[in-house]
Amino acid sequence: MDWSMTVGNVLAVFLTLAIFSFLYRDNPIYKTAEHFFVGLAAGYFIVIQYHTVFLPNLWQPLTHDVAALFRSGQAAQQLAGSLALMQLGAAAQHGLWQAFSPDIKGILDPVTFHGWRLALIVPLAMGLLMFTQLMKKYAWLSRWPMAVVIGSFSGLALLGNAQGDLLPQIKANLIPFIKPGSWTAFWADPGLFTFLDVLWNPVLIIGVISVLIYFFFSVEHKGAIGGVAAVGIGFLMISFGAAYGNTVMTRISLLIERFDFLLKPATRYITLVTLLLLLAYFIITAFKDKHKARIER
Amino acid sequence: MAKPTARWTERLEHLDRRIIFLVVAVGILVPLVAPLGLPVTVTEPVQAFRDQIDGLPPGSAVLVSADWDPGSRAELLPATVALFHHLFQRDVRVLIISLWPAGPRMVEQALAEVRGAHTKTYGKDYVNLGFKEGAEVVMVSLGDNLPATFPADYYGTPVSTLPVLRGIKSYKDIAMVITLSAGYPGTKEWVQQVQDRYNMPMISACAGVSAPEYYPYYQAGQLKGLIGGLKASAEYETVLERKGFAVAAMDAQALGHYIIIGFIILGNALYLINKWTNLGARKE
Repeated sequence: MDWSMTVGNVLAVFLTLAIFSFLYRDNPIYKTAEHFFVGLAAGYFIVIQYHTVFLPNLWQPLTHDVAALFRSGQAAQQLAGSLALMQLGAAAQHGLWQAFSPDIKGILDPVTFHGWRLALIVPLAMGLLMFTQLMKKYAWLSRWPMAVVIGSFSGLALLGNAQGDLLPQIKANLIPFIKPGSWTAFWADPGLFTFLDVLWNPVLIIGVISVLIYFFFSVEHKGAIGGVAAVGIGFLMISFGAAYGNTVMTRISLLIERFDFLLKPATRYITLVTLLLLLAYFIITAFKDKHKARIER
Repeated sequence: MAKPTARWTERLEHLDRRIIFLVVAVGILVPLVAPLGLPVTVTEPVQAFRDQIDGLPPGSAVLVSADWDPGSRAELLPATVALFHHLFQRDVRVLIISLWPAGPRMVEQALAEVRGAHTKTYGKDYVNLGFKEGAEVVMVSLGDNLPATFPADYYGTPVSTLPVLRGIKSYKDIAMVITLSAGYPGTKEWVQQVQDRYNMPMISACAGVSAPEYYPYYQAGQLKGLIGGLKASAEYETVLERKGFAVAAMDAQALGHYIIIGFIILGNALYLINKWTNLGARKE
């Protein structure tokens, strides 16, 4: 095993146990690990954004292709062409393209054409405007890029929710009350699973209707409505229970993975030494605290 | 007047939480050291996940979106490793992207585990296209122009030079989207933005905590297969006959759950006992 791996393992074991130490009580070792994690995550995020987004999608196209464009002396024509095409939908773009003369088509040739890249100046300018947040006088300018981001995300989310979530889910609930063939299967082979199959659709339909009625607050939940709403609460409780159960499962999985890491042949001795050091630290601080409390009394 | 001593049931009800942590820790450690060998049964969504990949036409391309980070490593690394084994056994091109900044590193870890077992070549059979900021915008942008959205791979190689991407322009050239999801952006956004709009077959492996949210998508046929959490990853490893970390962790997972169930029952029982005892004492 090389040194970098050993140092990495020592750090990983120490940080894991430092985070676990919070289960005993809040302490400076835990705080150190926590700050280390936050700083590292922020740094990593910036570096990744720079190398995988800023450089390939903005800086390199602008500095390489657009510089070549200016050298070729066609910048103005290509910018005008790209902006004209950007205004149109795909069909209109195609139509306009067909209408172009061979000379213009030559300038806008997709192979040699870099004019599209000029449009990247717009997101660059928008991105720079975000930094006006740092200057009180010009901070209002940052509202423009924010408006673009919020507007585009809202549009996409709205469409996605309606088209990809709401309508398909409504469609999925338009089902027969009894699953076709389930009764026949149950009578042919009576058992728990065939019986549950018979119950599948009724449970789904009753669950959806009762939960919807529970969230219908325009009518007081009394009488029959109150009864159905109570059934809805039951369904909601079951779904919350399922969600909680899955959350517990996830947390236990994370714990298992960390324990598995701590017990690996490459880390188990590091774990033992770190654990003993942490134990010594807590015993010493406990004695110190006790001593301090006695003096204060 | 001396303060009356609390009954043992009352003391137990207010047990120091650190003792509970210790019991859970011991309960998880023991099966990791001495496995119990509990059986793993394969559920329908996991079997469907496997069947979907088995049904991919030879030579087709699949898009894998690894939308997770080290926080979900325990659940999604086993699923990712098993998925890559499965995909590399088949004659399909694998395009891997990530909408989470730490995703590409996780993909590299998973690829490092499977590379030795297969003869697939990077750039020809599979590619790690790296991370891209933009969540839903990236998803939609891929439907318009994939090479423009990811002009270079994770190592900075221009995608135009990679044979694996030859002929792939957008979703219409992709046979299936596989999302490995730990939250936002993840399976939910892929279903909302891509599945219905591009009529794209989609399967998902997700963190256990998100699974209840995605089961309706599976039931509605929007997801053709679903692996939810470490338990389902263990099922996937079992069905592929490639037992790894997920299967090994199942004993500890089961014992951890039994202990938590035990504490929930104990806590409720103690609460009721103390309530009834105090009521009886007050009546007397």
